[in-house]
Amino acid sequence: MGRWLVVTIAALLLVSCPAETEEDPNERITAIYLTVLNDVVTDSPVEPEDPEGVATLFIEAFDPEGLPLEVQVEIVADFVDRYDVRFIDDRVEATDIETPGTPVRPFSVFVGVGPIAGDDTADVRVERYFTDNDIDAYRYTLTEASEASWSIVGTPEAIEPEGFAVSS
Amino acid sequence: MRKRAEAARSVLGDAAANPLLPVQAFHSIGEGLFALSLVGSLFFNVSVDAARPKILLYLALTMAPFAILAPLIGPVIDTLKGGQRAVLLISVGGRAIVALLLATQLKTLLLYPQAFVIVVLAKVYVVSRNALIPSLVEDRDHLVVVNSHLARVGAIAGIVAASIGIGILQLASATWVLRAGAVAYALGALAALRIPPHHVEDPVSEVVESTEMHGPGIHAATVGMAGLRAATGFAFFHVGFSLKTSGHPAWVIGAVAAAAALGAFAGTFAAPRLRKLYDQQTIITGAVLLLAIVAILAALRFHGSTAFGFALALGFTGSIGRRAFDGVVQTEAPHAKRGRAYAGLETRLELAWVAGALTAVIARANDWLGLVALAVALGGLAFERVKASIDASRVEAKVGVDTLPLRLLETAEAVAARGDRQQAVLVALAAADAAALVADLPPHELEKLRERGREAARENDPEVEDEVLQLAHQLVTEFA
Repeated sequence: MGRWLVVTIAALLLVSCPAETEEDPNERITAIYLTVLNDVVTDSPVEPEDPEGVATLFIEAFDPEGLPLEVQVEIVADFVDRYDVRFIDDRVEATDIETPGTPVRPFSVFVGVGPIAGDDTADVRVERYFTDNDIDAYRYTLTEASEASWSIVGTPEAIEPEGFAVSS
Repeated sequence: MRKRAEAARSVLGDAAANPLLPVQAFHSIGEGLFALSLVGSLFFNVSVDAARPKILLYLALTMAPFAILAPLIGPVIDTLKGGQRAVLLISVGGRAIVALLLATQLKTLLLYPQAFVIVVLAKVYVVSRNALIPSLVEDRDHLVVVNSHLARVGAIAGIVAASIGIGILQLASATWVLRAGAVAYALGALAALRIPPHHVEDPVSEVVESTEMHGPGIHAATVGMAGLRAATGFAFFHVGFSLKTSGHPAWVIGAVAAAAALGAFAGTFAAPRLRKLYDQQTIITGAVLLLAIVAILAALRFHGSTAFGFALALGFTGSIGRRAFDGVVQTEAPHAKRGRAYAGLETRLELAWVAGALTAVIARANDWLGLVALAVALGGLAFERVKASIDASRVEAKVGVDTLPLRLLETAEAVAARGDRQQAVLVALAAADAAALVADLPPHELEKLRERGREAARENDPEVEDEVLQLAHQLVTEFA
C-alpha cells in the first residue's frame, strides 16, 4: 500500500514537471513586450508627481484575450523602479473623462499593445495615447538576439492608430 | 471608587474576557496594516480579468478548511484542554509568519496564495475567538456586551493601524507596512498565550445543546446574518473591482475600506439603543433591508463618494446584525457553551462570506448592475423574513392558552411516534391537566387517566402506555 502511494506520488511529480526542452511561451511574449515598452517610454519619459516617486505606465492589451497574468507580473517587476505599471480593464482607468479630449491622466504614460505576429521575427502594433485625437501608432519588428532577448529591427514604422481608435 | 475598580476590572464587560482584549487589539492592528499594504501590491497593477482565475482558485480553496476540516477538528479541539486557545494562537501566530513572508512578495505571483492563507487564518481567528468567548464569560448575560466591546476595540485598533500605516507608507514602503503588521500579529500571538487554558465542562447533554442550537429562532437569525456576511464578501470584491476599473486611485479604495470600519464602529454604539426599541430578529431584518436600500441608492450613481456611503452602511448593518445575532444565540441557546456549537454557526457565516465573494468574482458585473443584484437578493431575504415574522405572529395570536392542551397532545403523539413512549405518557398527562384548567373534565375520567399513567410509569408496559395515550386523546379532544 505504502509502496503504491510512493509510486503514485513520484508519477504525479514526473507528469507535473515540464520537459527541460519545453520553452515557456510566456518568456517570449514577456521579452518582446518589454523590448517595445522600454523603447516607447524611453522615447519621451514622463516626470512623476512626487519627485521621489515614479510615474504611472498604463498598459492596455488590444487583444481581447488580454495578456497572461504571468507576463503582466514580469512587466510590473521589470519597471518597478521606473514606472508604476497598471494593466487596465477599462480605458477610463487611464484617461480623464471629465476633461475635453479625454487626455491621459497626469504624470502618466498610456500605451496600447497589439498581439504578437510571426515566429522567428515578431511584429507588434504599439500605440501611445495622449488625447482621443492625438495618438501615435507604430509597427515594431523584432528579431531574437539571444535566448529570451529580442531586439528591434530598424526604425518602427508609423501607422494609422487602430487599437485606441475603437472604444474599449 | 469601587465602581471605578469594577469598571477597570472588566473593560470588556466581563473580567474573565479581559485576556482577549490585547489579542483583539493587536490582531486588528495587524489586520489594518495588512489591508493597507495591499495598496502597494500586485492587486492594483494587474488587470482584474487576468487575475480573476487566480482569485477564484484561492477563494475556492478558502472554503476547504471550513467545509471539510471544521466539522472534524471542532470536537477534537473541545476535548483538549486549551484547544481553543491553541487554535487562536496558531491563527494569529500563523498570520505573523505569512505576513513576514508576504512582505517581500507583494509584487510577485506568490501574493495570491499567501494573501489567501492570511484570509483563511483571519477567518479561523474569528471562528475560534467567537467560540472561545462563551467558554470564558461566566455570566451568559455578558456575552453580547463582551462581543460588542471587542468589536469596538477592534475598530479603534483599526483606526490606530491606519494612522501608523499611512506614516510608514510615507516614510518607507508597503513592504514595511506589512512587516509592522507582522509585528502586531506576533504581539497578538504572545498575548494569546496569556489566555488561561480552558476546558469546557459539559454543562448539559449534547442533545439539549443541539436542540437549542437548531431552534427556529437561531436558524432564522443565522440565515439573516449569513445574508449580511455574503453581502460583505460580495461587496469586498465587487466594489474593489468597480473602483479599480473606474480609475479611482488606491487611496479612494482605502478610504472606502475605512468607511466600512467606521460604520462597524458606529454600529457597536447603535446596537444597544436599537435593542431597547426592537426585538433582535427585527433588527436583523432591518439591517438587511437598510443595506438593500443603500445598495440601490449607490447603484443610481456609482462613484467614490457613493461607494463610501455604501461601505459605511455595510459596516453599520453588519455590526448591528452581529450584535442582534449574538443576542438571539444567547437567549435561545442558553446552554450552548461548547466551542463546536459556536464554531458550527461561525463556519456557516464564513462560508457565506466566501460564497458572496465567489459570486462577485465569477459574475464580474458592472458597478451598478452588481449593486442592483445585491439589493434584489437582500430585498428578497428581508421580504422572506418579514413574511415569516407576520406568519409567526398570526399563529401566535391564534395559539392562546385555549389551545395548549391540544398542542401538548400533539407533542405527546409526536414523541410517541419517535419511540420515547414514557416521555409521551408524561406529556399526555400534562395535556389532560392543561385541559382540566380550561374545561370541565369528568373527574372520574381524569382520575382514571392519572392512575393508568402512574401504572405505565411503574411498569413500562407498552400496552398501558398506549391506553394512556388513547385516553388522553379522547379527553382532550372531546372536552377541550
